[in-house]
Amino acid sequence: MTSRKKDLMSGGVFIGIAVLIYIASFSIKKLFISRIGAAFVPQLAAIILLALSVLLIVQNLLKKEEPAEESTARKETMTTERKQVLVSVWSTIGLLLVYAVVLQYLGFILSTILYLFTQMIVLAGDKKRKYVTLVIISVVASTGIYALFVYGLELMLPAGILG
Amino acid sequence: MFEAFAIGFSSIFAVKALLLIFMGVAAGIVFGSIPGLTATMAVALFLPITFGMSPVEGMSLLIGLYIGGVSGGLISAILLKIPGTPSSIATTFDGHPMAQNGQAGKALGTGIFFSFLGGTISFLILFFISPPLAELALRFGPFEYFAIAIFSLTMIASVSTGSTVKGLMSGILGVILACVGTAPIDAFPRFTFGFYELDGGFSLLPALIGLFAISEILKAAERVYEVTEKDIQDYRIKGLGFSLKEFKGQIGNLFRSSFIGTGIGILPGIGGGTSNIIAYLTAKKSSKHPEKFGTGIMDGVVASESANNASVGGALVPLLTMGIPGDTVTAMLLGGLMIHGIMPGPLLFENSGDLVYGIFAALIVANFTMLFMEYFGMRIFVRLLKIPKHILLPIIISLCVVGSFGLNNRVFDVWSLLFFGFLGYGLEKWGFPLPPIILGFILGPIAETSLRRGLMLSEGSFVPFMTRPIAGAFLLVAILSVVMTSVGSKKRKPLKIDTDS
Repeated sequence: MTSRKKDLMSGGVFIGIAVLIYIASFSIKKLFISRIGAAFVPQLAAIILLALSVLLIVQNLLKKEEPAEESTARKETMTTERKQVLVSVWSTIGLLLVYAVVLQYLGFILSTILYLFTQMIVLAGDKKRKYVTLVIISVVASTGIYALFVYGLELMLPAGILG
Repeated sequence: MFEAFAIGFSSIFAVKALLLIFMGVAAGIVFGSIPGLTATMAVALFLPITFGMSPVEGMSLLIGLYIGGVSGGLISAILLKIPGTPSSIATTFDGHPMAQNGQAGKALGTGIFFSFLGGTISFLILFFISPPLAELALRFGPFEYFAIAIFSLTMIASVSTGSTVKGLMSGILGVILACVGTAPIDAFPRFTFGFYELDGGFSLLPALIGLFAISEILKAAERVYEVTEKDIQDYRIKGLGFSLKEFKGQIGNLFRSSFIGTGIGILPGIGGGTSNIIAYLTAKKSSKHPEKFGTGIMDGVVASESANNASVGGALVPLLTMGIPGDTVTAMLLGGLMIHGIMPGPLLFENSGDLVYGIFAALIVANFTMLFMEYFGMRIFVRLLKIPKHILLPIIISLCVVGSFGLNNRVFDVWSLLFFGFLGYGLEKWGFPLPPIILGFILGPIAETSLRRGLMLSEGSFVPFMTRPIAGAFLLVAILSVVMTSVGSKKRKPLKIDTDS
């Protein structure tokens, strides 16, 4: 994606967000008939956001298309390396979501061990996967953090099925 | 004033507070020096540890992290040619060529010593201008606070990264995110979509940690950078690393860069990430031999390193006197103070003078600690550069989770953490700067509350916002700065700067 395309797309998305916020703000209750109530700032912000998004799109439409060299270079790089990047970013996002879900059920220690181990494998790439070392690090780090915060600093953490 | 300082020093000259400062500086240097970890992240991660401490102890730790983090970036900037934090981008310009010319020790010594001096100059400015400024701010009413909040919002958009429009959009998005929850004054719920957890709005901490740590990890997932033995330049520091004569030649540069750093630090929302580059460019412009910049001369390192540390003192001025953060790290400090029920602002000097002067004292102690640790502990910090990222980053994520959960003991805040993390990553991919979001998030409610209070005072009239001298002046400057940058940005090519310090 060129920066121009990115700007056009983000401009479009933000126009959508602005409109949604403006519509949603009608359901905010008002105490008395006054122009400046609880809904005033959200509505004003939505209008400014809309105006800025339109400005961003107009700016980019007026700009000349960037030279084509980027697009040819892109085709070459859309190889295995780029795919790997996408896989590692999306699996990181997935792992984070799973981590937040299991945190409630398995508790901090178990879910953190699972998260750390899988995340380390994802980030390590193909080369240095020493599974035993990673398991040990995950277990030690997870229990260490739990002990430090719960016993040392008296902070609550989800205990889960171990608690 | 001296009496107040004595009280401040006595509050931190306890074994625990001093240890916390040492620990903070050491951890800060590690975070600063490892590329991908920043001072902002360090402060975010250590915030949960301060929940159970007294305010002075907590602040001592965070101040140590802040100073260590801003300064630590010079190590990898010089030895690896990768800025450890955005605050040391300009340090690579001359610092790394110096290292390649066999002057790595001199570059490190210069960087460390001038970091110390830049910090010291800015702290002196902080000590002398913030008490009178707080006194002035005591007389500010809602009109003035509204104007200052609007001024701050426009400042960041116009001075920060590339596109003015995108900066403003980020800021507005922050304002909108801050609208979620209970409205000020009349307490009606807004945009909670049935989630009772959102009644209090998004918490500041998960938002900050998400935007600046989680999004950073996702960026790291794209390309895991590993440091190997042969990447690191050889170095040996002799004495201070430079001669007295060379020092004398840099005095003008030191003061100019420190004033630039402090000034940029005071401006809301931008800090060391911007000031080091502007100071470098200014030093080059006013130098007698600008062509030598970039080939490995002291001047470049001096300009960058004294400016970024000088931003620390500057950024604390608006935080302590008005409760408006001067950069992303001070936004974290604001969060840290609020956890203890302390709202920074003009009253802080009257109600918690011991805390204010405790913070001042911690700054001085942390600055000296940074100086000694970096001179004598360089070998250890360099060795830590080689910790594998695929092990370090996941552990940092789990600490982010601990921090978000520990605030209110609810998993909901972990979800907000992820929401802000994904949001930040997506926006950065689309070329939107992140610091304005935080500024909008903090300043939006200040602006809204002041606006509505002001309108109640003036019975619905907008006139006092323009006619009160201080309020009117700030609003005028705000409008001018937006107009000037949007006109100016068409002519010049925008400089790409990451303003996250």
